[in-house]
Amino acid sequence: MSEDTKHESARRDEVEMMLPFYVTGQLDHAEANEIDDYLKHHPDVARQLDLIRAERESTAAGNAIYASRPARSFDRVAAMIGKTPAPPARSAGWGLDWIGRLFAMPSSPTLGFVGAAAAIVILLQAATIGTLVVAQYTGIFGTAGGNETVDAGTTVVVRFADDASAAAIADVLSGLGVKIIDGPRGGRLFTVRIGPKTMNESERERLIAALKARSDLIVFVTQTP
Amino acid sequence: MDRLIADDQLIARVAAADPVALETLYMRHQNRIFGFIARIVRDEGVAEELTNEVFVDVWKHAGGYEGRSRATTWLLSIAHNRAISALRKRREEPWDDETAANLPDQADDSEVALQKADKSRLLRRCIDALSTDYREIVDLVYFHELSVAEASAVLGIPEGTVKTRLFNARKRLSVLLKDAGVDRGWP
Repeated sequence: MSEDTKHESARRDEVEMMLPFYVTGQLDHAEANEIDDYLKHHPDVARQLDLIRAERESTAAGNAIYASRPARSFDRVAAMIGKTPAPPARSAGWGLDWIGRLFAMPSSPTLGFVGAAAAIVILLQAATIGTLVVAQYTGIFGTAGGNETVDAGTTVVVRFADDASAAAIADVLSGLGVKIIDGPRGGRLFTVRIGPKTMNESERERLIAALKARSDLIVFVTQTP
Repeated sequence: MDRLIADDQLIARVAAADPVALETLYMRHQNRIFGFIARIVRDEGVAEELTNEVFVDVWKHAGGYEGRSRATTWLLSIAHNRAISALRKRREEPWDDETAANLPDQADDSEVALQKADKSRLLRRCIDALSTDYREIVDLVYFHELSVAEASAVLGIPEGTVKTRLFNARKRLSVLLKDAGVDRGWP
């Protein structure tokens, strides 16, 4: 093996090792540019990007089972540290009932709280980009009727792009007739109800494909286990 | 107390013995930490207890957090140490054997053949069948979206080892997929 070939092989290994970090956006600007440049001249290596995206999506699916678990009580930790847990009213925060109602599935006090917490995140994230008027976008989270309960139905787990605005997400979700019912969970995942439990396969596939097609807003979509 | 309070500030309050700050951190991060540990120890009951212990560690050691890394990285680092320590105590390395035995092979029946068609599901099963070290690095990079430096801090290994471990994990994934009848053409 010539020196040039050895060098090229080592460079290829180096790039391949960085590709997962390139896909997840964890490289700095200069590193990402280097990879961009290498991939332009090495389409065989560029083809790996699809493999890595598939690995990433499947990893998220494997983690989704934990991401969709209800929040656990702090009581046990409080007992372990020998302190009294904060009063429930304090945990529930400042007048969150109206936010909790934005979610489609406030089926238990615990889930209701989790839902409310998720709504806060969305609101605050949106507030930083100044695009969200709460009343305008309640459709993201489902009916605002308060007492209506919705069965979990057929769901998918999605990860929205960090720079996606609530308004754009609302447009896409409402256009497809689907709603967020939970989130964000670990890894910033949201559970989206795309239809009733009994929905047919082709409709399910159509909606998943439509969500995946919005890769500008949605990093990945994976079916719940 | 709300999301506008940064994790760093919460940890500073925990260091000053504020249990409400700890509860807020717990509500914010428990799922991530629980899932990360559960994927390592493969036992949800154990993972639940270890998750609680992670936050007790936070309570005890918050004063030592210097803010050099993201709070998430610090929490994952504690969780990693707790999980690996529990595995060692159990003297059980949940390697490929059990889950690999459940992977479909070329001689499987028609039901399994249908599963083969679902490459995504198969890929997920192969990731689950990776050794603890490999699965952990895959989770940290793909799911928790850590950088090389952050994964290095969580695992306590050099950055070069982070890269080679993930690279080898991906190669191992290709072998498992190939054994299950899917050649993805890499490496």
